[in-house]
Amino acid sequence: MKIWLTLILCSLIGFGQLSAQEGKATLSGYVKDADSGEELIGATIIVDSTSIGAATNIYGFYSLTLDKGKYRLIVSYIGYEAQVIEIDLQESETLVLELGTGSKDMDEIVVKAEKDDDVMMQDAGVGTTKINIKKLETLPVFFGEKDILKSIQLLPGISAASEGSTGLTVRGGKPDQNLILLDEAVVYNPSHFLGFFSVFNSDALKDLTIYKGGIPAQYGGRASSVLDIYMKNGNKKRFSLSGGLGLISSRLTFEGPIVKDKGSFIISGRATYLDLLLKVVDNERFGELALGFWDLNLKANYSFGKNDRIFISGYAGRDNFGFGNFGLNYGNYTATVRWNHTFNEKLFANTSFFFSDYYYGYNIGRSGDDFTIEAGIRDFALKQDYSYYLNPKNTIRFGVNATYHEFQPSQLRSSNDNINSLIADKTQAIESGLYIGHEIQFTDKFKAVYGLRVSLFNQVGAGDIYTYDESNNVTDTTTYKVMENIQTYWGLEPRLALTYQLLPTTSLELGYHRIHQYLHLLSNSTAAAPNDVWIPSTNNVKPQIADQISLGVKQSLFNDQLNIGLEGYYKYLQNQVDYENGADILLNTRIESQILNGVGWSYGAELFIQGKIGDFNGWISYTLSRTAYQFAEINRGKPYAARQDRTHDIAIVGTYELKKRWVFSLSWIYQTGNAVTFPSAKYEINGQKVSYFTERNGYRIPAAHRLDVAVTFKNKPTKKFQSSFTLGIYNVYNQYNPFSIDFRQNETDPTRTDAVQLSLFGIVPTITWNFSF
Amino acid sequence: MNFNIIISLLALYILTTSCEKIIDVDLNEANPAPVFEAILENDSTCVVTASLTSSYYDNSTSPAITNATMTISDQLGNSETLSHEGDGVYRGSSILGIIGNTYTLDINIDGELYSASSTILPTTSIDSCSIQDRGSLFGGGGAPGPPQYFVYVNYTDPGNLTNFYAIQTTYYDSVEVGYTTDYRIADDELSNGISTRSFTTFNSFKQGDTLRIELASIDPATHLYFKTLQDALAGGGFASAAPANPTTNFSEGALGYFGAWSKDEIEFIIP
Repeated sequence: MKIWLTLILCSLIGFGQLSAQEGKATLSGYVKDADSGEELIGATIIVDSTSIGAATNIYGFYSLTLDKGKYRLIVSYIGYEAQVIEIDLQESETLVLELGTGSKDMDEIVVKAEKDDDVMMQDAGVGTTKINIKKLETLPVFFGEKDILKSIQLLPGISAASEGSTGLTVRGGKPDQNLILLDEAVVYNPSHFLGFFSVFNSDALKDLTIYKGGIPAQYGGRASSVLDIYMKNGNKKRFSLSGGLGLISSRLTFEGPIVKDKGSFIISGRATYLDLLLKVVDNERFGELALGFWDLNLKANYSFGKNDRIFISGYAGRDNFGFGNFGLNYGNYTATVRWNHTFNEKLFANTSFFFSDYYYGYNIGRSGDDFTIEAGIRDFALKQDYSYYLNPKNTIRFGVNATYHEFQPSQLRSSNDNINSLIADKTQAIESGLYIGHEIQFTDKFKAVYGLRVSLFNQVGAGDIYTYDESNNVTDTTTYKVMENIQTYWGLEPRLALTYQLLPTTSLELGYHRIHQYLHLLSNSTAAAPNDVWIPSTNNVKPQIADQISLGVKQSLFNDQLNIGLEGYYKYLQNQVDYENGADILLNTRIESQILNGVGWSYGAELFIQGKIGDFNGWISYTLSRTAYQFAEINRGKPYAARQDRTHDIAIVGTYELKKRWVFSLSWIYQTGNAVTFPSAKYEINGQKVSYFTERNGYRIPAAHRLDVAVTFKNKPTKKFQSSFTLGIYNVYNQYNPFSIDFRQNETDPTRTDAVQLSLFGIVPTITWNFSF
Repeated sequence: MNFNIIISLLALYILTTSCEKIIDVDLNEANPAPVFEAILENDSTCVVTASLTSSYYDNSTSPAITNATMTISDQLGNSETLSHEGDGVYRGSSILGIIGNTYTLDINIDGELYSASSTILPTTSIDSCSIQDRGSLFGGGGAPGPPQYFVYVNYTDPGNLTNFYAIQTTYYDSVEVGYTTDYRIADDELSNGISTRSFTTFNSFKQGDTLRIELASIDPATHLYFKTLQDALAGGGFASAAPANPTTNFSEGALGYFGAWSKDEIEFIIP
């Protein structure tokens, strides 16, 4: 097997002209923001009028090997003005390329090329989209809180699990099937405030790339999508303070150089004060209320010489909710230490260590007579990645990683004599991966990114492992020692993304991936509840397997002013997880025996039209899709629509910039309602009326639609101080969109039953003030 | 200062922007299915109420099944046929529930057969009842007027078994003007082998109110039925999992349960 792979790889590299011939030279270095020195991820350096070029990696490093000679290179990055540089490449050299947002004059050799800084979303290959985080600020947002997880819901194939939720469903997937990475560390619960806000403070973020198809081999572990998020490194040139004051929270960011052009740091914090405000208003009613969240992003980096660089970054966040004797506390911590090493101008290496921790705890009662319920997951991971920039036509990425997972199932500690404590033992697993990926430009028109990932999952001791019979009784218990292997799963995960340039303005794309998901989130709600439980694959729970194929066509019109993309996909999911009727998610040491296994599938078509006329920018996205599950134990074994099945999903987004100081924006969405289960008849038990359900998810809540608008006003851009006000209106025409529908007895006539629709948000005006200096 | 007030008002608005309204939802009609509520208590005879499901919005009571043949039998081979008393109520006359026995109920309706079994487990005795000031539970405040109390039932859980309980609380409800019975279930996952207390009802009482509390020791299948019934009654509302029919111990096609149990009871006057 390995020999075959090596042979195939070698022959393909050969096809792309392997040998480093005489008469060639390599240009390498970093692409940076001219203002702050921030490295740019995925910036492209293209030889003018050809398809030959390179893109920067996640550390902003590029490497381009060319025949010796004179070249015109176009350097571009989303949200920045593209630059043309003219070089005479006679020997290998390093060159730092700086891109600006247009306000300053660049270096003399630089000629301004076309303006690319208005695009908010950029197509970045098969099933991949890059987001311009800076531009997102101008979009109308929920309660004035800019939020990347909200904004990307305006893209085709991505929608919210329910209104206002940061829980994402990507191409029919569940929220737990998204790999959410912050500086490469996994974020297990991306939400604050029961899912209404995300944990990502946009002020501290630099780059977001979303993969929903043809996922590259370096990613693994989640079945539906990857959200690869990077924090800013911090301003390398000068100290800067920025922040904002909003209705829900306020933000403050401080960044600057440690040693100029050598290292920098950034500290960014965010906190809410809703409960304090409420107490001011009505201390009688809200005196015992605690309601809030905070988060803190920290990052520092330092270059040791030309070839080595260290990054340390961390995130901490917590939600607190309390009322009287009830308290709930939950949140994530992540930490990453990375070491970049450039062996030579072609081989780039990165070694990373991560830590990630998610915890939740309830505390009920008074001290001395209280109990605590808590659970969590903790990761320690090591990762080694290499990028080898063989020549402009071949880039090879390979690496290995291992994660030690520690799961704390929900447990109860009690200081009350009437309640025993329920201490649940931790369970452990090691998830590892080995991958190799190859990007090859076969011809000017034909590009392939393909790879293979081998994923391995070992459930390890220490612990007692149970075997269950069909009626969920324990038939056997085996005790394992520390690190003793209990159960092994592994899988081969081929990845493929092909792009063929049919015409200069038309390209065809094909993507395929297989991914194994070894961790599962058990959830009993539509909202992202903090007490949802992550469980590993074990001897009783099999890993999920996803296969997805996608086919797309991209067309650009009017000199790239209008871009149209049409993509179809089919996804098949094995070993999907649900649980038996009546199973408890909380404090259930035998949840494994109550897990049900089924299959799911999703298929759909996504249309994306993005255009630009003068200072007007916008897009229309439309998704037509179907998602279904089939479990032997549910719906009498017949397939049923998934709750997140969305037949139609439309988003229209527009922004208009007036004289660089005013930005008007709007977004309108339309979505088919969630599939839900309603009763078909009723009967009586114990004198109570009980609903009789005949099919799972056989009904729909009504479709939702909503218009949001915002206007941003900036002060005159002086050098020192910049500030802007954003006024927004959420749900302009006050449409009461259904969140849920409940059946209950009519209050005046108990013999009658009413269907009651709950809507969460009517019209909400917001104001936010942002500043920086 | 003005700024603060504006912000506060906005924050209040945010919390109160949600809204409920009554809408029309067309529901499919289902074929009527039989529903059995079958109980056999220790030292009592078996009682079964049989009815059919009815249209969801229909406000008449469920139609009774009057043509069923029902047989109760134990694992020793004793059996009897229940007699129909009218209105779908069937009752036995000779077989009494005995602790330790497993009973099977066979029902025949026009040739369609349904069957369920249940075991009577040993009684757990009620030790006493206790009360808790409703105000103190949520840290002060509370409603004006005389203090209101929540009622707990106290018992000692046997340590050698996994126990499941059904707690039935009957009291005079001055709002409904009549007697009301509330049902709750409990298990010993967090109280195995200790003296414990279980909550009886979310209703609260004042001094002098009288309650009758029954503590039934039920088998796992009956417990699962009551648990899933509780979930179903809670409804598929705000942010909950997809609702499902309660897990019956009857064979395919029937709704309801057959529960055989032993119980202890107590009458309690709020001191």
